[in-house]
Parts: sequence; C-alpha cells; structure tokens
Amino acid sequence: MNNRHDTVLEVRDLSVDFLTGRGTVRALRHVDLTVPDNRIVGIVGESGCGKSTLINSVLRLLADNAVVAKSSSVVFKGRDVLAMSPADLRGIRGQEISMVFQDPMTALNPVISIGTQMTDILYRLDMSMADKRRLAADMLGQVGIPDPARRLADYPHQFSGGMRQRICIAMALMMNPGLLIADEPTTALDVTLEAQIIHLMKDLCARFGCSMLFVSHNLGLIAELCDEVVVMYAGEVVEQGEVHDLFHRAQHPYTRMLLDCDPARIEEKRRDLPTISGSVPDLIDLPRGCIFAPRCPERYAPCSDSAPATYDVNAVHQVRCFKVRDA
Amino acid sequence: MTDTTPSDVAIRREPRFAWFRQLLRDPLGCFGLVLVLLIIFSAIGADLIAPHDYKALDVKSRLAGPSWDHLLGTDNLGRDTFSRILHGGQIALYVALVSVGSSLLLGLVLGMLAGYGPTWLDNLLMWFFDSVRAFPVIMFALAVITVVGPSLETIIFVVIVTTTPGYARIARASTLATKNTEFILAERSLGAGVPRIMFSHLVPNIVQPLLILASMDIPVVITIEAGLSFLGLGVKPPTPSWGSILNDGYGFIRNTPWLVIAGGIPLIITTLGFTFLGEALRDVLDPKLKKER
Amino acid sequence: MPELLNVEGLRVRFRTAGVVKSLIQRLTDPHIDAVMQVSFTLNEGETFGLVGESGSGKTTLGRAVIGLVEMAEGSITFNGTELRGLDDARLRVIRRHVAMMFQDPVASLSPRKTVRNIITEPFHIHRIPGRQSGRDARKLLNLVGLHEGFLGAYPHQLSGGQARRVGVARALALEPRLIIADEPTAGLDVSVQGEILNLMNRLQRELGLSYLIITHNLPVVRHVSDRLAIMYLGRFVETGDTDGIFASPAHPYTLGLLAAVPEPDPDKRRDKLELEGEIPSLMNRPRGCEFHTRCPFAREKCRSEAPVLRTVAPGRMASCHFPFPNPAEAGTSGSGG
Repeated sequence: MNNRHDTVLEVRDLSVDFLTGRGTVRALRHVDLTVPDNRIVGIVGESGCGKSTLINSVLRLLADNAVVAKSSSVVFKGRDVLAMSPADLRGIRGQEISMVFQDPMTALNPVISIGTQMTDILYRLDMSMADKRRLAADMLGQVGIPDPARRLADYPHQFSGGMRQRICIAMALMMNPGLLIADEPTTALDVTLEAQIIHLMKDLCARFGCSMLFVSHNLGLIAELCDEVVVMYAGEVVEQGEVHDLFHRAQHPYTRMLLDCDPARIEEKRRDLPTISGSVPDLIDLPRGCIFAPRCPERYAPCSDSAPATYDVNAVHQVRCFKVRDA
Repeated sequence: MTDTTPSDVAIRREPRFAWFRQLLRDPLGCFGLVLVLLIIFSAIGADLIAPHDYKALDVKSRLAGPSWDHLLGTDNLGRDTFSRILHGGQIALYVALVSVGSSLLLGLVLGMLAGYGPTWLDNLLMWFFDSVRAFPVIMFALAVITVVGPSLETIIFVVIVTTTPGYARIARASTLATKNTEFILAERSLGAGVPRIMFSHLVPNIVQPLLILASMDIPVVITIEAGLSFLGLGVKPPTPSWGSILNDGYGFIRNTPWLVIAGGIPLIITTLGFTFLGEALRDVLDPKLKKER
Repeated sequence: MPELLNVEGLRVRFRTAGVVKSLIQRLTDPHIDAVMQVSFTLNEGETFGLVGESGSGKTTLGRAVIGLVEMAEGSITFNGTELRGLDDARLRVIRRHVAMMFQDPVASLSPRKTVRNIITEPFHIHRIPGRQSGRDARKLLNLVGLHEGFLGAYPHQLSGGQARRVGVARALALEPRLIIADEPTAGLDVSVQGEILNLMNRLQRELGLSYLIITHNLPVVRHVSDRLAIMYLGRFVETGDTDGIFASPAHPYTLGLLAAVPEPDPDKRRDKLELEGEIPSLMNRPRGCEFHTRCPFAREKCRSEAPVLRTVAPGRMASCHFPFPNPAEAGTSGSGG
C-alpha cells in the first residue's frame, strides 16, 4: 500500500455492473488505479473500454441502473467516495475534484456571462463580489485569455472553441482542486489548438500543484503529457506503468497492437496499415478466460481457461497477462 | 489482406416493435389503448352490437330508464339510447379520423415545403398559417356554418382549416432541423431529387411528433363535433351524435338524467383514452424524453 | 496517368446576410469567400489529400466538386467535360461517376432505412433497371467485407466501423471513378481506422478509383495520399507530393501543422510550440500574407504584400515570400526563416 500522503486518488478493485433489459452489462471489472500527488495519469482505450464509467464512478455520477460491487473502494485524500453522504459528495465535486469535458461548445451555459459563471463557482467562499471577479479575471489571464477583466462580461458564443476550452480549464482550476479529470479535452479542437491546450494544462497543473487524470484515445497526447499510463480494454485495466516503460517496453499484446496501429508511430510510409482483427467482446456474455484472448495472436493454453491476475513487470509496471507470469 | 475482417461480426439486434412493448409496460398507456380499442370496435361493429334500430320510434316507452331491453334507456321519441350512442360513435370517429388525417397529411406536406423550399415560400406559408391560426375556432365555425349550412362536411372542413397550421409548424421545424444533417447531404450528393428526399427520407424522420399530436387532437375534434351538434349546428337529425343526444338530455333533464349520462360518458372515455394513449406514445417514441433504462 | 479531375481558379462564396439586412446595415459586400483561387488536378488512380484546420474551406471545396455548393468563379473539368453551365440532366449523368463519403459514419446513413435500402438507393435514384435486387446489395456488402446478415440492419445498430463500410458500399454502388472522402477516419478507433483505410486502398487497386481525401489527420494522410494540398482560410498555401512535404515543408504553416501533431513517444516531447493563436475569421481576412498573424517568421513584407502560390521546387508550390529551402537543392531557393 502506498503512503496515503503521496496519493490523491486510489481506486481499488472497482467493479461496476449496469442492469439493462438485455441483461447485466459488466462494464468495469476489478479496476485498480492510483493517482499520486502532482502526477498526470493517462487512461487510454478504445470506445467501450469503460473510461467514462471509471470517471463517473470516481465522481459518483453513475446512472441509476449501475451497481457498484461491495468490495470496491474509491479513496480520495483518505476518504472513501463510495461511502460518502450526498452533502460531503457535493463538497468534493467541483471543489476538490473538478472536470474538463470533451465539448467546450456545450460545457458552458450559453445564456450566462463568463464572469457570472465563474464567480458562481466561488459561492462557497466568503469573499466580496469585487474580489471574486478579480480572482476570475486573474484565472482567465492565467489560461491565456487577452484582456481578461473586460471579457468577464462576455457570453460563451463570443469566444472561439479554443478560448472556450481555456475558460473551462480556468473554471476547473478556480477552487484549486486536488484532482483534475480531463475527459478527451481536445477531441473537438484542431491540431494547432490541441497542442496549445495540452501545454497549457500541463503548465497549470504544475503551477497549481494539482494531479490530473487525463482520458484520451490519442496515444500521441498521452505520450506528450502523462507521467503514468493506464491501458483499458473491455472494462479491465490490462496494463499500467510509467510512461517511458509502457511506450518502449509494452508487455500486453493489446497495448503492443494498439501502439502498432497508430499511423503516427509508423515511420515508413505504407499503404497497408496494421489493425486488430476481431471485435470487443459483449460485456453481457464475457469469455471465460482472458478478456483479450479471442483477439490475441499470442494466446496459448492458459489464456482460454482462466482470467489472468495482474503481474509485476517491475516496480512501476503491471500487466494482466499470463505471458508475464510465465516469463 | 487485413481489411476483410469486419470490426464486428455481431449486429446489435433490437426486438421488433420494442416501442409497443414499452407502451404496454406503461399502465396509463395500456389503459388508454384499451379505451381507444373499445371505442373503435364499438363504432365499427355498431350495426352488429346495437340491439335496436337507432331510428325506430317507440312512443309507448319514451324517456325510459335502463332496462334489459334498453340498456341505457330511451329518448324523448322512444329511440334506444344505447344504439344511438354506438352509431353516434361512428359519426364522432368518422369526423375525427377524416379531419385529423387530412390536416396531418396537408400539414405535413405544407410544412415540409416551407422547411425545405426557398425562403420566400417559407415566409408566405408561415404568414398564411399564422393568419389562419389567429381565427377563434368556434367563431370561425359559426361563420362558415351560417354561410354554408350545417352538415358533417362543414364540420370536417372547419376542423381541417383550423388544425392544419399546427401540424405544418411542427413539420416545418422538424424539416429545418433535419434538412442539413449529413444523411440528407449524402442523398443530395447521390443526385436524389427533392420529392425523393422529402417523401422517402424526411417523412419517416419527422412524422412521429405529428402522429402524437394527432392522437391528442382526436378527442378535441370529437368535442368540437359534439359541441356543434349540441348547438344544433352539426349533424342533421335523425343521424345520432353524442352532442345531439346530450342536447336532448339537457331538454329533458327534469324527466330523466339518463340521456345526459349516456351522452356524456362516451365523450369522457374517448378524451381520456386518446389523451393517455397520446402521452404514452410521446414518452415511448420521443427519444429526448426517453429515460435511462 | 490520364487526368480525371481538373479544378481551375475555383471560388466559393457564401452569403452572410439577407438582402434586406445587408441594405439596412449598408454592408458593402455581404459575402465571405470560403474557397478562393483553388486550382489542382487529380489523375486516375491517384489519391489527393486536402489538409487544413476547421474553417480552412477543405470540406466546402469537396462539396463544390460534387456540386453540393455552387461555385462563384472558376471551372471544374471532370474526365474532359466542363461541369460549369451544364444542365441538370447531363450533370446527373456525370455525377454518377463521382461519389462522396461524409464525416459521421452513422449520421450520414438515412436512419430509418435498412442497410439494403441504403446501398441500393443510388440505383433507385438513377433508375437503373435490374440493379435493385438483393443480389447487387449482397455483392456490394461483400466488396466492403460485411456479411449478408447486415442487409436488414438499421444504421443505429451498427458500430462506427460497420457504418463506415456501409457508406463505402453506397459510394461504390454506381461504379464511380472518383470518391470524395470527407474525414474517412473521423469517429473511428485507431484499430478500426486501419481497416477502413486498407479497404479503401484495396478498392483503389482493384477498381482503379481516384480519391480526394479531406482530413485534418496528418498521420493518416501521410500514409494514404500521393499528393497533398494544405489549406488556410480557403486558399492553398502549399501543394506537392506527400513524401516531399512531410520531409521538408516549404510553408511555415505546414511546418507548424506538422509540429503540432504529438508524437506517440515520450522521449520526443516538445518544449516549444510552432504556432500560437487561432485561425482568423473569414469575415476579416488579415492584410498582406493571410498567415502573418500566426507566423513566427513574419517580416515587414509579409504584413503588406500578399504572396502568390508559386513553384518553389520541382512539383512543389507554396504561397510564401520566404519559403523554407528544399534540402534536395538547398541554397538555390529562398532563404527560409
């Protein structure tokens, strides 16, 4: 167990089921995740891997039909989020854990001025309105919005997409949270803006001493930004480790194939691009053995019999694959 | 070649008529459906179910109370009220279905033309619809009846004129929202003409809210017909109508309450039935209101 | 290779205000130019990539080629026939040879039609007798690697990759010679992207198709296109063969775009950014070189004088006063930044 003072968020054995008309969807299974102090942890995975369910579990924003397993725990700064009262939970959301969403166009209320939206977040603080506006203007300045004091009166549609995402970041960091969760914050933006936003987020997190959980399907961004990487597949963490270790010495066949598929990593120009054949299993009717076995080119006898546990490659690198155990 | 492996082999199948099952799971919707079916079957089978000829006079048993022979009693001319109610249902449904159906079709086509056509056509049609909607329904009806004379066709005409703009507005709004979507662009890029785009691709995507509105409009139209017949401006005697039965009962309420009760109950059943069904349909069909499973 | 498509001096304008509003506001010109002075040729069997950020006019250009938006100036020649001024009937015949794939794989399929109806729709539209049978639908699905079970499926039941294949099948129905693909990999997972690109590549080889690929995804376009055009504010700022542009961009914007793509290697982190700021609005284009507001190498001349698209190296054009030298012939052209 890590020392609690070094850890902002600790997710242990998190399993989440969704009860639907078709059956029980086993969306997350035995997920372990640690976000250390002042670190940026990236979550990579393709659609349906459970990224959003994981984030929503941390903030307890799951839909009504979700069932969280009894053995699960989500500990934020020493307190179990899953056992918290609704009042305590509200105290944490937006204040100690804040979020930046995918689409900056819809994340801001279109009929309220930026200044009002920003000072509204500070309602818990005992501060004069003038001070709150000064703080808001200061935050806007820090995220690179020119002439911030005057622009507080402007409405979201008066800003471009990139500027709006900067405002969202400013709002997320206003309460000086311990953890910032960014859910694909740049997918709606162009490449040149994406690069700007990523650098901004990295700088600000360092300046505010804030940890970040960065969710993306873009391996380039993960490599650029993160200290640690968690690879998810079909509701399980299949591999996690320090970023250099993971990118250069990936152990899980899925991680390796995912890295191979990225056209940005293919040096030679080629017309025939690598793919991962087969499809993500139905989460209602899971295969008996390893979750990736049906698509895995390296599977052998133990893979289809039982699910692998998590094995250590080294102190900072864990993999859910029998080959690592047997190596 | 790696590309021949489809990313997914299985198709996510949904049970057919899933919306219908959902409707049956909603108790109010189910109740509404039962009432509506009851009304429709009794109207269709009126000739078979009716124990008496609705025109046959039986002066000896005028204004009789319910009995095994006359389930809902008789009116002031001794005609069997139950048989008249059943046939009145035929009239009510005929008026409602013909007029609501026509307004729906007309509104759909005009609304799509307004939404998909050039701006000047849109402006012209909208100006026209707004003017028509400004007429008070009853005043308009009275004026038309005064000029043309009371008849079933007059009622139908009045209802079509006054309700079409509502359908057209909804059809126009949905068309505007749909016409710039990628699948319409894709059809245009294939060279599809305007009629094909409108009738083959727009209609199935915008017709649902209109159907819901129609199911809610049916009881309104039935009440309009009953109201005008009550005033003696609707169907001509001896054709029975729930409104004229009510009117007869009103005149003889000191002698017997049964006529008013018999004329009122079917109106209440119809209104409740179609309204519940319409609301349940809206919940089931409108994806924006769909709750998380 | 014979020439299939030739675009010459194309300009597309959009109205920003109605007649009455522009009179009231005394706007001198209530138009914006979404595409300006664009010329290029596409040969048979070739893939041409249009690259740019949102608002660069790449999608509008693609739509102008297939006739979804009207051109204001210029000419488009397809297979030797000038499309401008052609009547609708003859335009329809020519358009059968050009098909378009739209950005969103699922939303570009008519939501209440089955896959069978969607992929045979082109036969109905062009009234091609005898081609509406299930046999043709099955053949098309086969061609894109989907099994027959999909014929009865509705778009919302398909995954992104499956829907994209259906879109390809529909585009192929009329045996086109040119396919305009708007962001063919948008909304797809990395592992599925490869499948679709491989499929398009196989179809190109088997059927001799030409592609006009519109994308902002530089890593993808590098692998699939023969030649490229980089667009900024509706103009081409650089054109040339793909390998050459990726190896040594001549325009600072191209360099900035290439540098903005994060490398999936934690050892190659960037410490500085090439491009600051955002794309200016089409409503008020900067004076001089339109890129000077964001260009880290801008000089006095760039602020006052607009550069023209000119040949800076064999087969390479750029609209920059001071293009980067081509390493193949360094020292002979331009001075670079």
